[in-house]
Amino acid sequence: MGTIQKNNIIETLKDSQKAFWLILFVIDIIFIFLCLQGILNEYFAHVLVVINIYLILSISLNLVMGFTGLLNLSHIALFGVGAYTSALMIMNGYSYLLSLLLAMLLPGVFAVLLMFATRKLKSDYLMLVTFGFSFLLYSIFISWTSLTRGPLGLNNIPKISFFDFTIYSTNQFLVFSTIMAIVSIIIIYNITKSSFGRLLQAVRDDEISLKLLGKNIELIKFKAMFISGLFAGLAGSLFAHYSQYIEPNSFWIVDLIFLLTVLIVGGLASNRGAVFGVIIIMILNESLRLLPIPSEILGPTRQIIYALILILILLYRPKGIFGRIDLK
Amino acid sequence: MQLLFNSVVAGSIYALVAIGFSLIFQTNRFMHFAHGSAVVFSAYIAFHFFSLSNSLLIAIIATLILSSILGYLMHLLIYYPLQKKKSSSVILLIASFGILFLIDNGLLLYFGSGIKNINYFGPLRGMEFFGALITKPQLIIVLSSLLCLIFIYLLMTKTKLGRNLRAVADNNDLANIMGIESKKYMALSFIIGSVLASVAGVLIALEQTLSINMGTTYMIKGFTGAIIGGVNSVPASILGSYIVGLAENFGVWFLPSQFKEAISFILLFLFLLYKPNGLFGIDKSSRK
Amino acid sequence: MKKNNIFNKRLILIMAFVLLAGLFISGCSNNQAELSELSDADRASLVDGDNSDKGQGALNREIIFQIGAIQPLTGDGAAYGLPVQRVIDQAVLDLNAKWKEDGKKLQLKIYHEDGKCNGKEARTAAENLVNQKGVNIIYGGMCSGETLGIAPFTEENNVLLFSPLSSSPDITNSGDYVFRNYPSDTAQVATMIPFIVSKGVKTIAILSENTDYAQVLRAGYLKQLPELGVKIVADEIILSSAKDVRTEILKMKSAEPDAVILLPQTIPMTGVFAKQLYESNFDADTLFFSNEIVGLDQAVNEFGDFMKGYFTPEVAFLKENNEFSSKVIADTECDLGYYCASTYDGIFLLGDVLELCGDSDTDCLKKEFDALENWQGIMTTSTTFDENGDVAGDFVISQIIAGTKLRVN
Repeated sequence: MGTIQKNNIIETLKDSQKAFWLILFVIDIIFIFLCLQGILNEYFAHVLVVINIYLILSISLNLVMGFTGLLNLSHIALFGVGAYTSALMIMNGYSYLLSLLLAMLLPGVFAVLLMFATRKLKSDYLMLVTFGFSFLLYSIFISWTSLTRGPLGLNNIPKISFFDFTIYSTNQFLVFSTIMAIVSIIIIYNITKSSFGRLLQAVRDDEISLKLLGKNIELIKFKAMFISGLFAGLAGSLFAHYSQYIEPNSFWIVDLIFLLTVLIVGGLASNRGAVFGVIIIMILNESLRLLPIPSEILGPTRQIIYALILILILLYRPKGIFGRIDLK
Repeated sequence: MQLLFNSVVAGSIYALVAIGFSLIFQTNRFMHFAHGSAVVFSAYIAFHFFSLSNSLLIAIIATLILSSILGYLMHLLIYYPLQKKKSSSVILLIASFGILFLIDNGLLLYFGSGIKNINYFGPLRGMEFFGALITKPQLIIVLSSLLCLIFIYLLMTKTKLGRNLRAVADNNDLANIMGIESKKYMALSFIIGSVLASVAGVLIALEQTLSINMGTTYMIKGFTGAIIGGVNSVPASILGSYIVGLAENFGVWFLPSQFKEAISFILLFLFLLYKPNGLFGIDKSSRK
Repeated sequence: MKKNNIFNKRLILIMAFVLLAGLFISGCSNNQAELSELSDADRASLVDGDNSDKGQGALNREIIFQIGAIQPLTGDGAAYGLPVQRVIDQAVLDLNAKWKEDGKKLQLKIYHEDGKCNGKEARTAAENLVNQKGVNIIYGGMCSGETLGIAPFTEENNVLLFSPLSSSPDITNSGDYVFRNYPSDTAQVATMIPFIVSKGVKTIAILSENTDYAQVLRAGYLKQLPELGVKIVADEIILSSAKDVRTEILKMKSAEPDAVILLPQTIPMTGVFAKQLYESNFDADTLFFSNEIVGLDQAVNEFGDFMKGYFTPEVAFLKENNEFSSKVIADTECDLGYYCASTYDGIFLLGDVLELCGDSDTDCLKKEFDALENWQGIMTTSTTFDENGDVAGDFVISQIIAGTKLRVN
């Protein structure tokens, strides 16, 4: 009786996982089709683009936080490094492909260096130091004016173009970013399902056994950070060339809180969670615009409602919607 | 000399924030990011009651009472239900962001976004004192902080309440087994922490102008100090905060001013590299 | 058993989400249909000519112009954004009242959105306003980050972006449909520098906030003052979140400057600068110069005691001794000087242009904006846009004395 129940449960689980991705993919394709046909206007395309960009950020952060168990708050700064690198490279005449490459590599390298410096730190301290690292990078963005123009930011960043083709309209960018997002999801999904993925989870759950088996834990952590850095850079490049304007404030507290929120609400150590979290929080944010609130109290009231809903979701499902684990 | 004094003043405020933060951290084991909001809340309540009554005493009493209620409510309504479900510290961190949004925007709705000022002292020039310039409010800050710190130290070490708090902070489960009701003390840590934050808030209100978003800065400095000193021990957190004050002010003297805030983080970084439990901290690795 | 519970909870949440998403999509599509009908019908009648004649004929119902407004309503920028929002609402009320009085069947409707002083948020808000609510004009942003974040979008979609307050020099080159009603930094620096030199200042210290407008001013001073023989002996840059700048001030003091230039951008920072400079007992002969933020009513009211004798520039647009201005400022509790005035008049400026073009022909709007010459406002004196959509600025310098300001030049 026990085994049969267990099997059924596993079957249902597997089905619901695959079902999720399938349904999501279908809905996404329908949306994109509607946008391309003009039935849904550019606003929806824009929201989807933003979802795509932050989706790449959240699944890559999930790799490090959810699967490897590292409380890493530096992701938003790596996002910024990718954005600035890509923007500066293209504005200095390099090709997009080269710029993208560097925009992905640089955050990856920074991530590894950060991990190297903090390899001996325990979770709560790690959280603080990575937060401090984000702040350090923010300081650099805002102070190294000869490179980044400081608080003025970089504007008139060119759109993405390669092989004589420019991604001009929002719809075109929607297609491009969706492709990037899908590729990212596939890559990271496969990583998490592979033996390397199991290693990562072992680092999170049972470091001692791993040590006994002789595995080089630090190397594993470095690899995880490097991969997540690569994708942070990708997202950064997409962001820079889509919004065509970046400033230090785009890569600091407001967006860091957003990133953590979507990850936690979606649920750690679950790719579905990371994706779903971004979608639900974005839709929540945008839906607040529909509420008829008098203009004098518009801003703060929306934020209060948002905070209340967030707290309610957390109270209702403290592990997050798809979450399976708890980080200590 | 002036530098030293500036550092002490800054460090005093950070210390008040830091103890509250580290106390809550020790007993509840998570980063209560909304602690800064408790500071801002207190500052605004102090302003409100001062403008209503024109009496500083009433303002202070009202602030202390209301912020301890706030601390207790935060624990009761949000943190405790989550903790009962064994939520991880990251969940609690996000919940604390939610609380931060609530409080900050609630204050924004009620008080509006203009800056506020309690002009209790009027414009003051600094007074000469051993080669450094000091103002009356600054002196009050340093003295009040010291008083609070001494009081807390005594509370934690000499009273039964304090000892029980430390027991819960040390090892929650063991304390429960020994008959100490940890829930009560976790709630208590929030109350005491918020009261300390409110003292910081009142002092800040007296000395500086109030703006809604000022809480986060103090929180960050406070917990940096707590970590540098050693977040697991209250006296260590205090010392850590003064170190942050010193580092910032002496650092800025020699380096370009833009990097003032970065200095404390670099310091944090270095300390944690070589002394992962903070300068004076106690190793609590068995809990992790 | 436990798994079932998880699935139930999860399913409920997912269903809630789907419901939310459905509301989100359906709730918006309706709005869109309504509005474009209106614009189409009205465009024809508007293009034909003067509205007031047609009052009885073709149009029995009112034409409702719709614009969007984006300001920071929460967060750090709210200190400026909320008063500005109130002024906008008041201006819209007043404009509608004026139209009614003049017998014109016109109405202005405004949709507010929160820019949060963040480019991405502002852009999303703009996308919503333009695509979902059908506006063709955006009155905003306020923070330069908002305006610069919105501009690429509005440029591509032929939407007019009219900012009453953004101060970044980058906005000059942001696009053909971008206009702003705030004079750029060069005018301010150009007015202050001769004044500073005329006071016999030989050495000067600069204390600035690390934000766009303040830094642009600082760069201007750094470049031009030495050319006129004034040596810069100290240059301190402060992050917006800093609360204690005493050590930086100490550094400045030890350089013994003849004068100090304060360049804050937020009011809290103004307070920090002013109070701590006062406490630091500078030499009694030291002169203090600043930017216009220090001269704003809110700053003077709160910190006037600490800033006695400060010289601060002010935009010369503001009409003086104007009872109406005072009433508006009192009613909306906007104590931000020129910012309130330009925001208020901006609505009336838009009103005039809308009368000529309607709200859906952006090229006509652009043409009318370009053609404006010495447009007379109610609270400001005269507005003319140059070829980049900027306004030239005249500044006057005042000195803060016992809670008020006295013109000095």
